[in-house]
Amino acid sequence: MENNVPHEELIRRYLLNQLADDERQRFEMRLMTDDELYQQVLLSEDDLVDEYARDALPEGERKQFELSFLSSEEGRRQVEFARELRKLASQASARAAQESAVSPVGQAARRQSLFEFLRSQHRLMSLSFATAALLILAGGTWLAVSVYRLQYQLDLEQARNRELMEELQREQSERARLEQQLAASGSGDGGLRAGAVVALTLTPGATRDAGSIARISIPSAATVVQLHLNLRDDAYTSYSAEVGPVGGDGIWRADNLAQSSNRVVLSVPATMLPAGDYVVRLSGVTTGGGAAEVDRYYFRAARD
Amino acid sequence: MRDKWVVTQEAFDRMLAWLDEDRDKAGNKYEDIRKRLIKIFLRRGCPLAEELTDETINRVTKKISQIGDTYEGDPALYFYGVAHNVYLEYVKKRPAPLPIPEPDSPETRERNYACLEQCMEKLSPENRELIIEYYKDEKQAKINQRKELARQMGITLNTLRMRAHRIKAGLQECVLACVERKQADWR
Repeated sequence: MENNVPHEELIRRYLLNQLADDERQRFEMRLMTDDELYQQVLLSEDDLVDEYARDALPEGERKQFELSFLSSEEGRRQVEFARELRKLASQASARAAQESAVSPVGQAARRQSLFEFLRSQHRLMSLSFATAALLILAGGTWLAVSVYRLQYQLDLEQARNRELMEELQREQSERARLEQQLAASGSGDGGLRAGAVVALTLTPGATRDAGSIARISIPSAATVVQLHLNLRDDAYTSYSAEVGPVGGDGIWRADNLAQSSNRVVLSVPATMLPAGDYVVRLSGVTTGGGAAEVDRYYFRAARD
Repeated sequence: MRDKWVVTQEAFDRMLAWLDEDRDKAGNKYEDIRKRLIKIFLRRGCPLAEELTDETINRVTKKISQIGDTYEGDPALYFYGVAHNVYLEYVKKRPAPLPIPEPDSPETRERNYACLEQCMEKLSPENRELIIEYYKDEKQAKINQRKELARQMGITLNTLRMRAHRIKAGLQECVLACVERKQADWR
């Protein structure tokens, strides 16, 4: 696969037949065995067909799309379906907007008949009745909202408490494991205390520009590099992460990673990270058991 | 293209067993390989993608008795290697381009649209609303509209794309079945 190219762009170039022969073959070989890539290709194909159906493709891509997609019955069917779906969705949306514009008028009509009823009674009694009804309604609503808010806050605090307890347990287990690891490997470097861990916090979406890439200096006696991956959101209950040199294959993988405080922590043996540029591919595990890439994180490792 | 070698049940069973000892798993792997090969041929601009895929599978099935015990690696990649050779032969032969089909008649387009409307009614209200919101025309850029939709639903953009894709794929199957029924009724 071509180096340094984000997944989406490479998939788009593949779909538009813009890859060189050897690059295309490498891509296709991976497509035969990589479920995640295959899924992403299907999604990108959908997007491309949708863009073509909306006349939103730039001229150059449009011609390539037509060569690649419209030469087959399947491709033509996809485009035609996309056009019909767009037409139906737009009409349905316009109908719904019209209906919601009509309803306030209906509500006004209903309000008017209520006032007429009240006016038909004795003036003082109808005024008292209306006032009492309003007060009861307002009081009841306030009470219901207050109870709901308090319950919601209580749920939030309890969930936060559970998260903190779990995080504490995880940190304690991790510390014990690292201390054990160091004891087993033997400390060959005097002066570095047991359980030597270096940590780095990474943010999604950061580029690999020389000036802005996250950097970490790994001492020779370090045993573990802990990568703290900040999440954009916490859509998944568990994650998997793969670390590898930029443009190369993954060298370290961890599954069943939980998120805590909008962060996933990945521990990589320091020996796996010689000096160089790395990328962490983070995937969320779906309820069906499949994986969907969520983000990528870049960092540069230097060795002391 | 070479003369067609007829696949026997025995040969096909051997090929499935090569994919997996469990026959159900083997069947799933076979279907998976087949649809990926079709996708690859389509993206290479081959209008006869299914025929080329079947030719590939035939050749691999024929070869199983020779390579089945000695081949190491993912069988899917062996299929790919054969598919690539099939493609090169196809390109070398330079078949005459298929005639460009006539555009659908207004009656056909109306029938297809009616089927789509019927199939949309069969969706759950949530799925129907998702598809409408995802595909409706908007003044703002599509990507921003979809990001906003994902945010409102509390899911990532990729998860939204996957859901829309699954619903759309189901709609396409439904429409295809509806159109075939109508065509059969018309006959």
